[in-house]
Amino acid sequence: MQTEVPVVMATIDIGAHSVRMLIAEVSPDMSFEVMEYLEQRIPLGSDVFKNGRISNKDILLLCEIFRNFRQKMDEYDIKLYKAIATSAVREASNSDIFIERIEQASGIKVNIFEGVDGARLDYLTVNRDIPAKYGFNKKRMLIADIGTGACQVSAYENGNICFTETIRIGTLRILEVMPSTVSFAGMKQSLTPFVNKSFGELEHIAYSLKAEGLVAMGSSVRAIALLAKGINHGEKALNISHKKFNEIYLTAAQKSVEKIVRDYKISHGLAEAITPCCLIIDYLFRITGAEHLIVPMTSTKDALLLDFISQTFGEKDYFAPQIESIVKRLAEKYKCNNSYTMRTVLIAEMLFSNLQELHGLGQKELFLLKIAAHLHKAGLFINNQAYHKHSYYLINSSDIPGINRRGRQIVAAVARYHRKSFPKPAHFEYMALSPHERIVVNKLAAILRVACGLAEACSSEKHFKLKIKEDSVEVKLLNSDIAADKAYLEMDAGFFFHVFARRMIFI
Amino acid sequence: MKHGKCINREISWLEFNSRVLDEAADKGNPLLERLKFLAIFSSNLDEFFMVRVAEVMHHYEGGIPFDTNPSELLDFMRRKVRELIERQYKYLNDEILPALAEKGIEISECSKLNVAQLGMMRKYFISEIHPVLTPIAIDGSHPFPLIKNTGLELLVRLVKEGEEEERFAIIEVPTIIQRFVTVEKTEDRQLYINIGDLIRQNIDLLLSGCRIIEISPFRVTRDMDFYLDEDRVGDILSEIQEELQKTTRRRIIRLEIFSKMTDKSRKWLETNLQVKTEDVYLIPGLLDLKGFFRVTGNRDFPELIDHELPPLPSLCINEGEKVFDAISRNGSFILHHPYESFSPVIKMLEEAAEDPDVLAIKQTLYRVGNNSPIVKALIRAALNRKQVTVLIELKARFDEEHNIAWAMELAEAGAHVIYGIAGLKVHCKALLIVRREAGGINRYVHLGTGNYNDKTAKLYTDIGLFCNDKMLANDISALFNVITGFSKPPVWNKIMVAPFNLRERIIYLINRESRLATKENPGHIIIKANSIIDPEMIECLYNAAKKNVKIDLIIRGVCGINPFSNKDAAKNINVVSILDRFLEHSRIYYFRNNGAEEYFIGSSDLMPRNLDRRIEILFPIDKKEIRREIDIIINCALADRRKGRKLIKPNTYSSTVNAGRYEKLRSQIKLYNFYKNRYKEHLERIAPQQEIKVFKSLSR
Repeated sequence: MQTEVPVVMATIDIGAHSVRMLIAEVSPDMSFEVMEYLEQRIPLGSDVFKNGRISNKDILLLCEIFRNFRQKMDEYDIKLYKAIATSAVREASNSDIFIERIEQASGIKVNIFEGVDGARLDYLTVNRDIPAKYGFNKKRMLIADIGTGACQVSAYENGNICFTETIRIGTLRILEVMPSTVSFAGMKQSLTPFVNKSFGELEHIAYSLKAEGLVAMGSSVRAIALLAKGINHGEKALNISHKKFNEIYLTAAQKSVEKIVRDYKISHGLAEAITPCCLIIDYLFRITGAEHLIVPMTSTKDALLLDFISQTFGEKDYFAPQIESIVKRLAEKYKCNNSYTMRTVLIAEMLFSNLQELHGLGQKELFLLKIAAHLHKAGLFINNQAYHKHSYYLINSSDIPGINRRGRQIVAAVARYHRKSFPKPAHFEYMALSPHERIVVNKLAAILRVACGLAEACSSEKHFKLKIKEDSVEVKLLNSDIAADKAYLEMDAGFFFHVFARRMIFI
Repeated sequence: MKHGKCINREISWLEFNSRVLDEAADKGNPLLERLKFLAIFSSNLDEFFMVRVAEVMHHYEGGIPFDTNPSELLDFMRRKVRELIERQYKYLNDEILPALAEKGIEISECSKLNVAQLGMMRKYFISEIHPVLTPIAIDGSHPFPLIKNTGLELLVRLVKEGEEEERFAIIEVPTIIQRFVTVEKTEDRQLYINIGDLIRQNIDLLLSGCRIIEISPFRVTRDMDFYLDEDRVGDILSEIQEELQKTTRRRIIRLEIFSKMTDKSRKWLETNLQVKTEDVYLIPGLLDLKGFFRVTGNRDFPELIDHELPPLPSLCINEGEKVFDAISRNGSFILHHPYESFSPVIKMLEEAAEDPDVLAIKQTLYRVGNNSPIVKALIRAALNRKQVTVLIELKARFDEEHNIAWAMELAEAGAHVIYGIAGLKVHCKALLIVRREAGGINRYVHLGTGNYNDKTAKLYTDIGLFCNDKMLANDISALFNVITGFSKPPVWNKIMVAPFNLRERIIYLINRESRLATKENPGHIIIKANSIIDPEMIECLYNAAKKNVKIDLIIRGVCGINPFSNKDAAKNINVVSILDRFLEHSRIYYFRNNGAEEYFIGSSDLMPRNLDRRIEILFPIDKKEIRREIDIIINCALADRRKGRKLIKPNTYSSTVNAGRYEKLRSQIKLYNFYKNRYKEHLERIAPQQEIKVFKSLSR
């Protein structure tokens, strides 16, 4: 989307402590100016982390808040908005009802923000805020976004993502599991095993957690950084030594919440989060062996807006290279990162572009096709019997930051239908898709099947040319060696005919 | 009474009303203006009793701690009020009424009318007055009636025909009847009689078959200091409506009776109204001098009223130019009312209401008055489907009924009407307009020191700032979000907001001045406000004064500061109180800040209620030209020896009654001339032959 005049946009995020709205005017050059920032405290997290659901009282309160937000949007005639809900709503058993009631009350559609979506914002923040001297693009860095209910941990090597995982531990969740008999001062001793256990899985997933740099973000981390530095002179990121952090940790751990509020002049909610946050940072210092903690000062709400602006007006998705990086890592993990796969990706992309007038899909779908092309043979890692079905669940169970749950399901289904049976309503993988998603899967799977055949037959994507005719698509094979594979190719194109009603003729 | 570091609020207020009375004594003022000040004095005193005396009584009766012993304070107040009333009637009876009569305006009595006049008045009584009067006899079968707050009543002692026993009857004089009836009106003479006198003259028509022994006026003042526990109140609108309905049942805290009322009648009233003798005030003449506002509004004798100072047009808005365009062209500018017209504020709202590019309008309304063009424009905007959000303060004392009516009308038109925040009165004056323009969204802001009231804007000195400063607009948007309950208070960019950071910030600014000041490089603080009574602020100012900070206070009303309590502070504190034809109402705060001066204006006085229990704002003035204009305003005020009274002893000000020789230093006139000359020069610059245009429709 292009804009020639400034546009007013809004982002809303429902966190575990509060709900916030940011209204900004975005210029054609994508710079923006914040016009309004609204925040209402609402302790959703304490309800959800304790009882597993959002209480009726909170739903009613949020409906009222969202009605007010709608009024604010009307005041600026806002058409472009993004509303997300993070861990508290994500984990609530009644999240669907909650989202529906909010939409009923205000007309605002809220989307669940997956932990991996957070990794996208973290990357944006790090790229924007962390000066080059910290070597994000040259070193191995661990980035932790410490929220109230979850912690998103990502590792980067030379600026490319290696893995990202959502760990179900956060400042508020720690407080919720803390036995009532434990005093605030005794929290460190009592909860360190809980923190270790929560991060234990991470140590299994990653081959190494050692890192040359440690970046942490989140409101409580920023508060700790400000306590350590005293004042922020407009710096985008603050650097705290391990020693300085330990001093803060030691001092804060000995104070009551009331004393933290009084001494550091911060809100009660933030004061409560200081010690749990220190516990997590302390653990991260230990596992990474880092000597400094770098804290970007951009908040989630700002990052969310930047991301929304980029998604709306940006020509390219800034995170696309990172998604490709993590997809390649996955392909490596499942041993399917070979020249054939790379060829399949390129041919699929070429077919997609050339067949645009037939499928009518956009860049977003192309991206999903490329991921499916990368990972369609992942199932072979499990077994070569019906490996496309193994590919389906492996893809569906992998965290791919920047691709939401629905997107992941489409990718998995495209990989599932790249061979053998056509999609059938009785297939549970197919059942799980919406009518629109089914169409997308059919079209992409049809292209992928042809791409797979061509990748097998050709050593390069440049070895054929495509021509769309009234009732067929003519593929001219430029390399005579592959003429023998025509029969196989035509078999692979059977599904293409089924979907697009055009026979694919290989000449 | 002995004064400590801080002068008690009530005692200081009585001194203020005494200064109002001085204006009635000032022979330099035209006669009808002097009479008007007597009426203002009475009006002020009514409110003082209804709210302040009532509160002191609550403290006294409830044993609630107070800064001064409530019993002693009540005694002092009663004594002081009696002294002031004596002075008031002395000026009225001995000076003003006789002088007015000489000039052709006579307030007479029926006994002095000729037969023809009496006949004409009887006819008038029968047709206009008699139908609305209902005498109520009081006996065993007729209980004592409900007596309205601050209404005029007549007590009649009578004997019914054929009976011997004396009875009492009460006649309420409805407020719809003018207190003074015109008997005769010629080019050079106007004769009025008092309504009470007219009723007395024609009492036979009301109480036929009765022998009248005595007719004497009286008036009650009730305790109007009601408190709503807003945390428990569900619907504040209906709660206030309910409270207003109770006004005739509230406790009587003052009974005013004509001084010649017989002891028998007085005692009867005291018993039946359950009033203590110390709360009975004997009035040596006409009761309720507020009624004179009808006479002082007389424009037939120009020499008896102040010469007109019609509001001038703004220099910053060209003829035919939209106010939005003027703001965009100028960046920011101020209007100083009533020297400059209030019309641009109304015009901006009217333009906004019709402008298809305007998306939203937000405004606070405190005292809007009757038939307000501001409210009409808001209603039109709401009908034109703009997002209109109006904060109407229902708790604005004595304006509750007006405000409820407007609130309902606005809500019906589709505006979002909010009645304020529980426990806090919204007193700030802010207007925000969101407009879609070619370059994007533009937000226009108007912030003022006075209410959005076109009528008081002709009488009160107030400053209004127009701008489209983005940071300020962000702050004002956030302020509305807080007021409407949409958001918690943010970190403010430019403004100070009570009760969030205003107290803290002012203390910081005063203390900073102390820190920076040296003997060689003294600090300077100037505060122009209506009242200063907050002990913490006063203490800070004392401390600053002791540390080489010169403090100039231009405080119209209650001033709790007593520099004489501390020798070191006294030499650096100068207090001036200006009372003149316009009511001084603007609030200005100046801090020298070691040369990097800071100027703020806004809605807040330095009283605990402003700093802790109200939403108030002070906003900075950054533009050089506006700062120079504010310097002129301050300097004129500080140099005023004609109407500026200097605090010379604890709670005692110099008199200006005989200061006619300082007419050239009269700040309000000087300021008017300054604005007039400035506008004239402006016209000469743009079109040398054009004449000064004034807003005739807005002249007083």
